[in-house]
Amino acid sequence: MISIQNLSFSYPKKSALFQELDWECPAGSIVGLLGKNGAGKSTFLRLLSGLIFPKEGTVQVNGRYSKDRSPDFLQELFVVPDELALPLHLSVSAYTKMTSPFYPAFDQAKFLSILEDFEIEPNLKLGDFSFGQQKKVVLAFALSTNCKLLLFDEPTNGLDIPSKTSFRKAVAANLSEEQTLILATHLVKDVENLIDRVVILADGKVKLDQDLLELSDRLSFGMATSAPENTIYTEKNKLGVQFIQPRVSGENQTPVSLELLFNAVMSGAVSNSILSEKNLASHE
Amino acid sequence: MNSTSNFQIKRIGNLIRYEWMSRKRVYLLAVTGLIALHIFFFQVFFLSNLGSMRWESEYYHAVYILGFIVLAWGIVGQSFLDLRENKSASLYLRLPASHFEKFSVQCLLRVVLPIISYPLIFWLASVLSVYLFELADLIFAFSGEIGSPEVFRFSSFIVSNAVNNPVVSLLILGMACLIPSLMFVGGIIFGKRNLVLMPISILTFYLLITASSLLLAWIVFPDSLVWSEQVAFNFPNIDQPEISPDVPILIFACMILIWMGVFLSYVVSYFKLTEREV
Repeated sequence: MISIQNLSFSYPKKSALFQELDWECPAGSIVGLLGKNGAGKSTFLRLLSGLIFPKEGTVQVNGRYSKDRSPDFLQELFVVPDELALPLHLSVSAYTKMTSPFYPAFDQAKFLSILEDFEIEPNLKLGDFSFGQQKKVVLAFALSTNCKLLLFDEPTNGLDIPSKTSFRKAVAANLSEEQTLILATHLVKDVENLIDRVVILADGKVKLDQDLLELSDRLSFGMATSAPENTIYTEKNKLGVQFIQPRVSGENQTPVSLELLFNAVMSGAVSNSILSEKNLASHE
Repeated sequence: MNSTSNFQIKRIGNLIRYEWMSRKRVYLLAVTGLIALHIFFFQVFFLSNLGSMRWESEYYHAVYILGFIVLAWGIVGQSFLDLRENKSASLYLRLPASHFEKFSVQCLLRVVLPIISYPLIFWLASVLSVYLFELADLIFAFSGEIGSPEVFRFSSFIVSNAVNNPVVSLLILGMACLIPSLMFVGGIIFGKRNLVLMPISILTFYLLITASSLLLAWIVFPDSLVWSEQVAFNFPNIDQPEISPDVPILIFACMILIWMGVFLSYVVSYFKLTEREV
């Protein structure tokens, strides 16, 4: 569904942010796009949405070049940016009336239901809401558009703890199998139980792009008082040592610790190439 | 028409609704403000000429032309408002509509609509002003024998400005179209600084063209610039050569260039929109 080939991009008078980046993503995934501050997560989303153009290479979504910003492409794309631009003088209902006609598959009942889950009153003005509440309105709207590609940039920024739970529930309950959701965040804990695929950006490349099920098939995440043998990556904390090791045949699967995995990728201990070189499919 | 088409009436309607709901107050305020401003100026003109003459329809013309220029500057110059801030630009560029549809709606709302509605606003303001004057006259009886002012009539404007030469007519019409067209393209080039930078650009360009013409004329005909007690320009005859009777080549060339300027303003606006990155 998403195909990025040989992508190079840099901002004027700055060093290259992405160089010869290739990435493909099948439809129906919930992707966690992780990276350090300045790794290019938001830029990556803007390239996907056609707001900025590649210096080299191509970005295609469902066979359409994002830089063309064709109506067909745009009506199947909804972006929730980190910084919102809302008509604050309008009520939620008026905002919906103004924006929803652009999205042919918009589901008004779904929108009202998500708003109810988020405890948002649709007759109030957007300007009367806090930033977190405004974000919830836009998130509810995004999930109700039924667009095939949803891009959320730091979606849990500004949400309180109960709202983060409501957000995860809303995403899990309202996303169909045909929809792809990319969540760019540095708050890995917020999306840990939501995503089924993880992409980690660093040094202008996709350092890791793995299905979480495959990862938990191949790797074992654990904690011990001292590091066991055959670990790929270890990290000391007050309670002992957190580790990643290849999963051996017959061993129970462990939940993927995104934070540990992220640190392992940043340290260079885990990457796409290392995973394929070591052929860590020892369970086979 | 399928959704891949570059032009769909439904999406045009969506964009117009989006614009109206976003800026309904601004539009209403602009119309009422324009009417009120015109009424104010008309009252000033009526009263300042009270003792000398009756205000007739022809006297409105200068105000009309000045108002048109102000309209082109202040309203047409507000094209592509959504592209002025990064946050709103990002939202606007992601609205599901083609570049051509977004461009067309901007042309419609920022150029066609003001130009069509301005004569009506002007006429309405003149009617209200005359009524207001007559009402005040009933109380204070200040018009005396001169009588109340005349309401603006479009016919007087058309007749008095008719020019027999079609090329000159096209040249005047082109100049009237060029100002709003340049202000329109300025909206996407200069953004929020358009109201200052585009008039400065037009003035600079005009001065450069004039100065270079005078300089060239002086090189070819040294007598055209006289350095005596005061500097004087003796323009060479621009009426010759003619490409057809009463059509000097210079006027013809100016007319072509002006209309090209009008056309290219819109071409540049469209391509600036397609290439806009946020």
